[in-house]
Amino acid sequence: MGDLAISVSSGTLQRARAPRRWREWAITKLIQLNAWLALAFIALILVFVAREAVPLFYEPASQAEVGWSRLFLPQHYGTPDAPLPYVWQPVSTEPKYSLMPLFLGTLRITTIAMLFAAPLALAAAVYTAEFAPGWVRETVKPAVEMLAGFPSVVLGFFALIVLASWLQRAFDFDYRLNAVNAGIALGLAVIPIIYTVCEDALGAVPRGLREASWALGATRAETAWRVVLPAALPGIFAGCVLGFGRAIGETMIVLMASGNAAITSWSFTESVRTLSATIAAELAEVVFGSPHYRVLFLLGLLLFIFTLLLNSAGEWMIARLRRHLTGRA
Amino acid sequence: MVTATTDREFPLLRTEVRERPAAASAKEIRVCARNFSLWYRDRQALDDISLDIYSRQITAIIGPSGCGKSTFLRSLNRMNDLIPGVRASGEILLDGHNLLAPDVDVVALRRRVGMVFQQPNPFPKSIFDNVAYGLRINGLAANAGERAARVEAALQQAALWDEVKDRLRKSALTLSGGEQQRLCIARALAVQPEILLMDEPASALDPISTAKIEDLIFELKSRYTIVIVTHNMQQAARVSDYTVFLLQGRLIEWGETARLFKTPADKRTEDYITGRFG
Amino acid sequence: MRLALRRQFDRSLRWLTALAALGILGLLAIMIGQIAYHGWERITWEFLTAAPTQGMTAGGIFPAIFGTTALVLIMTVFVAPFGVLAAVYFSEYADRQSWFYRVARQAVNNLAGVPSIVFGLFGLGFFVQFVGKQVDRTLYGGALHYGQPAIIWAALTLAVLTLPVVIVSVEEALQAVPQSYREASYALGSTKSQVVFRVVLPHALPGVLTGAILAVSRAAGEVAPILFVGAAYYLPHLPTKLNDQFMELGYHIFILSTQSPDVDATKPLLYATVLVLLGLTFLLNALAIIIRARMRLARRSV
Repeated sequence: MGDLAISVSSGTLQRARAPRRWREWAITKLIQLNAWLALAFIALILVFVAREAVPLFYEPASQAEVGWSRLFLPQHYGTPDAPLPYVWQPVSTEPKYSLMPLFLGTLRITTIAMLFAAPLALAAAVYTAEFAPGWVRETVKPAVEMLAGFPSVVLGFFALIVLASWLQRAFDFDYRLNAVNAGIALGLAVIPIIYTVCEDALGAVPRGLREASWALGATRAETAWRVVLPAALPGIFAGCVLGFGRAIGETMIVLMASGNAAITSWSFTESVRTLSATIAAELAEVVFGSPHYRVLFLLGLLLFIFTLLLNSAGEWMIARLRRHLTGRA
Repeated sequence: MVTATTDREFPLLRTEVRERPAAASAKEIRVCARNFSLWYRDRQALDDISLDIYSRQITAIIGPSGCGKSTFLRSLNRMNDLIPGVRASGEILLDGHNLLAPDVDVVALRRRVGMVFQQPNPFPKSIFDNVAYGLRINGLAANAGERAARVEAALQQAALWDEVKDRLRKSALTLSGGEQQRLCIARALAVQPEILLMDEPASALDPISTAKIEDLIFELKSRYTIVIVTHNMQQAARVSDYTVFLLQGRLIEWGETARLFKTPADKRTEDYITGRFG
Repeated sequence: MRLALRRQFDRSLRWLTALAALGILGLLAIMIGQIAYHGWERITWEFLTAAPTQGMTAGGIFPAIFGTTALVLIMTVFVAPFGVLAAVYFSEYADRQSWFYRVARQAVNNLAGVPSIVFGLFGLGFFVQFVGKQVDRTLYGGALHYGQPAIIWAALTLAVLTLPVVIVSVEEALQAVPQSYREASYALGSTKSQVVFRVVLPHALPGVLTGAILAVSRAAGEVAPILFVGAAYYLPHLPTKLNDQFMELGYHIFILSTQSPDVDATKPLLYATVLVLLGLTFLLNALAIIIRARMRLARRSV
C-alpha cells in the first residue's frame, strides 16, 4: 500500500493520483463487463439454439418436409405403418414430424413424477417442519441434500437396471421400460427441490402464528393443517412449479429408463419418449443442417422457453409469499 | 376512564389510579402456585414460587427483564412444554387440580386458560375466521348461526365489533396494530376461557392503543381472571388488583397492588418501583 | 369425544408425514445400498488405474477417470474467475436499484434453470459450430481442428452450466464478511478495489473454494451437455490436446447401460463405475459442506 503511506504521512487531502483513479475505473469496468457476460450467456443460448431452429420456417428444403401444420396437426399418411394421425418418425421414407407423441410422452412422465414426488416431498417437509424432534430434522435434511446430489445418469441407471426389474416382478407390465419406471426415477430427482422449497415456505410462517394456535388449545396437527399449511400455500405451489420445470427438462433419466418409443397414447405402462430424450437420442445420428436437425433444435428452443417461464413463475410466487407473510400488517 | 384521585396518589410512584371497589373479604383462589420451579436445561429460570391468583381479579407480574415473568406466565397454560429441555417441579393448582400432573390434557387446559401475546399474531385469514378458529377446532358451535353469534359476542367484548362489523371477511392483516391486538383478545375470548393470560399485551402498541387495551382489560375483569405480565409499572399500578414482583427467577413479594406500591415490604421491591434499577 | 377425534387426527398426521420422510430416506438407502453392494467387489487398484479391455467387460476405467478429471479441471479454470468476478459484482459493486442489477440477477437465476440438454445444444451450436469453426478459419485456414467435438468445448459448456453454482456460493461468502471489515479498510484510505480484493475476497476464500467444489461435483455428474460435444465411448488414447475427445465417467455409465451388447457381462463393471461416480460426488459435496461449516463456525467467533 505504498500510495497510502505517502498520502497519510504527507497529510494531503487532495484527490487520488491519476494512475490510481484510472486503475479503479478499469477494475470497476472489468467487473461490470463480467456481469454482462452472465447476461450475455443466457441471451447467447437463446440466440444460438434459435439460430439452428428458425431456418426451419423459411428454408425451402425444410419447408417441404416440415411445417407448422406437420408439427402440430393430425396428418393422414395413408400408409399401413402409421395408423394414428400423430406420428414422430423422422427417419423413414416419408419423414413424419408430429410433436404430439413427444408432448404426450413428456406430459405422461412428468405427471407420474409429480404424483409420486410432490405428496411425498410435501409430507416429509411438513414432518420436519412441524413434528420432528431436532435430531430427526438433522438427519432428513442432509439425506435429501444427498439425494439432490445424485447425478441423473445414476438415477437413470438405477431405474434401468434395478427398478424396472422390481416393477416387472410386481406388476408384470407389457414393456419393461415404461412411463411408470421413468416417472418414479424422475420423481426421485425432483423430490429434493420440492422438499427444500416447501420446507422453506413452512419455516417462513412466523412462530407467533403457531403459538397463537397452540394457546387456543389446538394440537400440533391442527395447527399445521389449519394455520401453517394454508399460510405457506403459495410457497408450496411454487415448489411444485419448480419441480415440474426440473422434471420437464430432465434428459438422462428418461433416456435410459422410459423405453424411448414415440407412441401417441395415454397409457402409462407403455414406453414413452419425451422432448428432451428425443433430442439426446437423435442428434448424434442427424445430418448437420437437415430438417431433422432443425426440428431437434426447435424442440430444444421449446424446452428452453417453457422451463424459463415455469422457473420465473415459481420464483415470482416465492417472492409473493414472502410479502404476503411479512408485509401489510 | 382513568380517574385521578390525588388522595390515593402513591407517594412512591406518582401515578394516577382507578377507583376500585373495596376488596371483597372472601375471594376465591383460582390458581395457586406451590413451590414451583423451572429449568431450561441446566439454567434455573424460576425458583420456588408460591402465590395465589384470585378469581375475577387482575394480577400483574412485574420485574426487570429476564426475571422470569413470561416464563411463569407461560407455565400457567403449559406453553413451556413446547420448548425442548424444560423441567419443572412443584405444583400449579387450577381449582385444586395440579396442572403439571402427567395425566392433564394440555389441549383441554388451554381452552380454559387463554393467552394473548406481546406481538399481535393474527392468522393470515379473515377477521371472522380468526375469531372463529378456536370455536371450530373445539367444536363449540353447533351451527354456523351460533358460530357467528359467538364471534360477534367475542368481538363485542374486545371492543372491536363496531370497527370491524362491516368487514368481517377482510384479511385480519389489514387492521392496525392496536386493532390486531384486540382481535387476538377476541380470538382468545371466543372459546370462553376462565382465565386470560396476557404477556405484555400493549408493549408493541402506541400510547393511544395502549390506553384502549388497558380500558378493555379493566372491563374484562368482571368476567375473567386475568394475569398480565408487564414491564411498565405504571400500567401495573393503573390496571391491576394484585401485583407480583419477581427478581431473577425468585418471588420477592406479592400482594394487593395498593399496598405493594404504597408500602412495599421488601427493599428490593421499593428499589425497583422507584426506578433505582431495571 | 371430540377431543379423542382430534387426538386421532394428530396421531394420524404425525405418522403419515413421518412415513413420507422415512420413505425418502429408505429409497435413498436402497439405492446406495444396491450400488455399493454390487459394485464394491470390483473396486480394486487395478480397476481404477487400468484401461477397459475385452469389450468393456474387464479391465478398469482409468481413461474415464482421467477424462472426467481433465474435463472438470479445464472447466474450473474458466468458471472460477468468471464466477468470482460476477459474484463480486453482485455483492460489492452493484447498485441494487439499477435496472442492470435486476436483469443480471434474473439472468443468473434463469441460467440455473435451463435444462441440461439445452446446454448440450448450446455447446454444439455455439462452441463447436460457431466458435470452433471461427478458430479453424483464423488459425488453420479452414481445416477441421476445432470445429468438432473436443474436450475444450465440453469444458466451456459445463462452465456456463455451473456458473450459477459458483456465483451463489461465492456471493454467500462475500455477504457473510462483516461490514466492519470493509468500513475499517475504507477508513484507512483504501480504494474500493483494494477493499474488495485485499480484505473481503481473501476472507471469503473458503466460500470460493466451496463454490468451485460444488461446481466440479455438479459437472462430474452431467452427461446430457457433453453427449455431442466431446465425450466418446472408447478411445485408444488419453486426451492430450485441447481438441481431443475424451472418455468420461457419466457418459461411460450411460453407454454401458444402454448400448452394451452383453448387459449381464458388463454389469459388474457398470455397478463399479456407478459406485466410483457416486462416491466422487458425495466426497466432493461432503468436502464443500465441511468447509462451509467451518466457515460458519469461524464467523461466530468473530
